[in-house]
Amino acid sequence: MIACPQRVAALHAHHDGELGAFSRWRLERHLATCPGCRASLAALEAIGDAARAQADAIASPDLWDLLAVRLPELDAAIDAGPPARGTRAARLWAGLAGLRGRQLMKPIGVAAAVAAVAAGFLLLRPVAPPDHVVRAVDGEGHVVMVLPSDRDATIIWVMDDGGGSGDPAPL
Amino acid sequence: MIPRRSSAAGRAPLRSRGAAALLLAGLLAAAAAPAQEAAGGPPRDGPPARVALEIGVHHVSQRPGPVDPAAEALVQKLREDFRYQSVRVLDRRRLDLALGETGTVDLPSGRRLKVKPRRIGENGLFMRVEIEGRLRTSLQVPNHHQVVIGAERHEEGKLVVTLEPDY
Repeated sequence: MIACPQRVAALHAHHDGELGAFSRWRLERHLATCPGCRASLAALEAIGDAARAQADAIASPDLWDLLAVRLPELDAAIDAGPPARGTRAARLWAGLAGLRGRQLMKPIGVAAAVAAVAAGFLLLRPVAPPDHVVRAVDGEGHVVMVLPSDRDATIIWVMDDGGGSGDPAPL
Repeated sequence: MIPRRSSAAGRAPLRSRGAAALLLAGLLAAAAAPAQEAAGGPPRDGPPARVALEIGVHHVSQRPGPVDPAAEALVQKLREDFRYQSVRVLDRRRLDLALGETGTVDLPSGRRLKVKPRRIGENGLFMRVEIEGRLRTSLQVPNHHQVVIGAERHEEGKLVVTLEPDY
């Protein structure tokens, strides 16, 4: 099965999630009637799934796991005694020992981890678009499209009978 | 006899837990405030009895032509999905309406746009919008969220109405 040549770019954009809502809607209508384009899209998705499976095989360490491993190591290093005087390690050891005397090392580590996670949550969190802006719609006999809201806007499009220059051109 | 070091170790976790709890509470409060703002929640003094609606009426066309600088924001919104090449602002006004009051705007096509803010909810303004003979809709619009309505064919293009509550 071969995809329609004029749809190839749209199929790739759809697969990459780069197609706008209206274009996606039109392409999905076309896919419902075109086995060639459906097969091409399925092939793209199979390639994507294989690539993602490969990526998932590489585990990424969790931040807390890293801290949990590092803290006992630091304690052990302090318990083992000071390194040779005057070295950078000796200065670090002295600092750690001072903190450890007040039992602050782990709380600081926990607080730092919480702060890092929270800061990441605040900085990286996408602002969600509002849900359910359009509660009900009646096109009074006309086809009406409601495009998914983004953060700033919701688009409602009343289609003109028979298409024409009032509505966007096909893909 | 309990060694001094053990005693200090017993108190420190309590202090650290308290500090961590305070830190977490502060971060959660900081996270909650913008979330409520983004959701278009009502101001702390309670919902107002009147709302303002910014109404725009535009003509968009696929024919090459100028893009009205005042419609640049609309062009950005439509660019992803539509291929209009010229945009004119035909009308722009601000309706100051009481809740339950109906405001009307005459469109260049001869139809009438009716808007009726009903109440202010946690997630935005409940309102009804009607373009006679074309569309009747019930909306819940967060404050300063824009609703773009492609209303009808007009002069080889399309009339596009924008509504944005400001309360």
